[in-house]
Amino acid sequence: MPISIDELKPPDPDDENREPAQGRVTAIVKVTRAGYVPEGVTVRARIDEEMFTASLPARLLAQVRSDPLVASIEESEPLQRID
Amino acid sequence: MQLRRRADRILEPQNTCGDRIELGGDIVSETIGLDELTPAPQGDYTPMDPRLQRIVARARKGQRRPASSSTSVNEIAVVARVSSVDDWLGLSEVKPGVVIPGDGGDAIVTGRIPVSRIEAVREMPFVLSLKAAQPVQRTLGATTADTGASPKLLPKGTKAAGGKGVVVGVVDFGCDFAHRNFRLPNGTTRVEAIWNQSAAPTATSPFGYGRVYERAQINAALKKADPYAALGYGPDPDNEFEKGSHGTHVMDIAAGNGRGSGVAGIAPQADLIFVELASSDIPWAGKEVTGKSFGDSVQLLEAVQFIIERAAGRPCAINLSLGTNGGPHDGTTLVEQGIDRLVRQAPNRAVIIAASNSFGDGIHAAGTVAPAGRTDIPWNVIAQDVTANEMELWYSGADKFAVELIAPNGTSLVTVEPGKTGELTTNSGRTAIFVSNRLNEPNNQDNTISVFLERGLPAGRWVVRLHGRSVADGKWHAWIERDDAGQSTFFQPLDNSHTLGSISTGHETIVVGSYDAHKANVPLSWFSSAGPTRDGREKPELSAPGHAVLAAHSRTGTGVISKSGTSMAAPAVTGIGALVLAQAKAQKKNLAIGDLRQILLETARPMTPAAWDARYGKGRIAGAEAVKRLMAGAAAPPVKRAAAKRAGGRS
Repeated sequence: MPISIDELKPPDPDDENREPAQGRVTAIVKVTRAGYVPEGVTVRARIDEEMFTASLPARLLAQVRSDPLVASIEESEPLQRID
Repeated sequence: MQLRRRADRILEPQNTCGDRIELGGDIVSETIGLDELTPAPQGDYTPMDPRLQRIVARARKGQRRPASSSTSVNEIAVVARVSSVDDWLGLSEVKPGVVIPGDGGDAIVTGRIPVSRIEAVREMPFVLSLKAAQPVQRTLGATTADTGASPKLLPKGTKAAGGKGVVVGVVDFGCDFAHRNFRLPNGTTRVEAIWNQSAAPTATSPFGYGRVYERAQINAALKKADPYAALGYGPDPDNEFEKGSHGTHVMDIAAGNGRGSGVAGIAPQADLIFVELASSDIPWAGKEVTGKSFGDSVQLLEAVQFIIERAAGRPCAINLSLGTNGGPHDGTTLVEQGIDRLVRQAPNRAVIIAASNSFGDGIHAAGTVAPAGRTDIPWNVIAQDVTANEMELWYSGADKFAVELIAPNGTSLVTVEPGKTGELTTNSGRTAIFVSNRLNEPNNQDNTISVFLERGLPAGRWVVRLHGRSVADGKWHAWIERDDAGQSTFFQPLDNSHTLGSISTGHETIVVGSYDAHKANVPLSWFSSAGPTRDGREKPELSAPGHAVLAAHSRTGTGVISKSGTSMAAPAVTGIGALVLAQAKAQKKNLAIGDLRQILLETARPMTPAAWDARYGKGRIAGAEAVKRLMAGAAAPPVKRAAAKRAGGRS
């Protein structure tokens, strides 16, 4: 479906269709304190004491990202085969 | 000393690099003792090509020449130079092939003639030259020959033993466990385990998903008429998108034993573990992903962890051929950091990654924004593009840029200030454009701008305009995300540097470019991506044959197929890594990743005067020299004194 440049506009802040993130996401988490796991986060595979792969509700992403004991959280990213 | 001989099914050598071809049939234990060798009477043969003389000699002894794809029994393919094409074609013995006229009245011709008539044909006055057809070199043989990794090229006394005792792990798509190159002489599998990440989970699934097929299950399946159905896993059959699965081809290069195809890979005695990668959440669907194979960064990291755990202390070399175009290209993504940590945690581990095939794709641009200045980055979205497009730009955390997006009709659509996001929707409320200008990325403290154009937007010359709000450094690099269904690009002149894949810039991984080993000047493959990393490190480290590599063709049992790509180069290095690790194990030495890297890089064959080339890396890998270097006593602590180096702390 073609999109016309003329129809583009900033999103309506009252748009009821703009729902918060749902479901669970997978991510790689790096923490600053050995063994620390943020609340609501499930460890999938532990790389070492400060890094693990994880599953968490999408709605918690912002909260985990701002956790002072979380150095970084990286949502899973698609990777394509290099031919 | 004894020579090993096969039964009467020995075929003529099929390649020119001397690798023996074993087509079907089992090797028998019959041997020839030197003591039993006696001279035969001197033959009286027509002066001609020694290969033809040998064939004639065998025929005189009653040996039958088997049929091939183009010849009947006791027939041979020849190429000749003749002074009269008519006379050549008039020979009843000749099944004519092609005729290539020459300038001087003669011609080059091909044909098939009976072995019994070789000498007669050669003596025809119009036959100026007659040669047996020279089989084209088996190109996996070219890989092992060029890299010095075939058994006869390895140094005397080596205990690398084809990688015995080392795990070669392959994270890829489509493992044909039934191909004879991955089976032992008794027909059982060499594959220890296959973790199919997309299979329905069981109680013992690693990390709670997928399913592991153990050796016993694979062997049970191999006894069935349809082993793939029996196991519930197998490579996809050939289809319009792909002939031969990628993972099977890759694993064969690294560690096939040649029992099916006739030509072994680099580490034919290595133990094999395969992970069939899947994506936890494939966000793309529809036409643009048809026929494509996707994984994701989390499950990739878990795959590497799985292989290391299953190796259970054995040395292991793991091959990865995945990536995208985006990312910071400085090794700071968490998936790269995670792989680095796993590799550092203990010696005798290596992860080898394909550089990527994006050199000519026009997906990288770089420049500088002057203080209070602006820079335009034109972005070409082609008219046939039915997919979304994405650009990712990285710049120093010391700078602050605003980003403005200008449509092909010249309309300035949105300007996003540092630290903000911008979004534009359609009349129906669907997001059409999203722009993020993120500051202080936690992994590297740099800033990043992302621009997403949804499908359906006009094609043409879009412009991403950077405004220098606060400039100390000013440098930026941008990448357009990979999109095989409609790749948007930057405009000429292109900057094809920094085109390594998104996970190919780690600190501990070994990244491999591709060249063509079939040509005398071993030219770079046109597609082989270039370094360095955005933070200026020298990657790729090495290059290896990746052009027109003939290796195992899935679902054929014994067949091969040609594929090209840095994906075909990386497993050559993986295999050589396995050989070096096997040699180290035999010498009771531990090799930390830095030791292994040093050996491989210092023995590489430089291709340019520079110490490092952006595409060849330090040079072409040299397997024999690497093993020799270790045998000569490369610095590495004895096993008993070596402590597993754990990479604790933040990276």
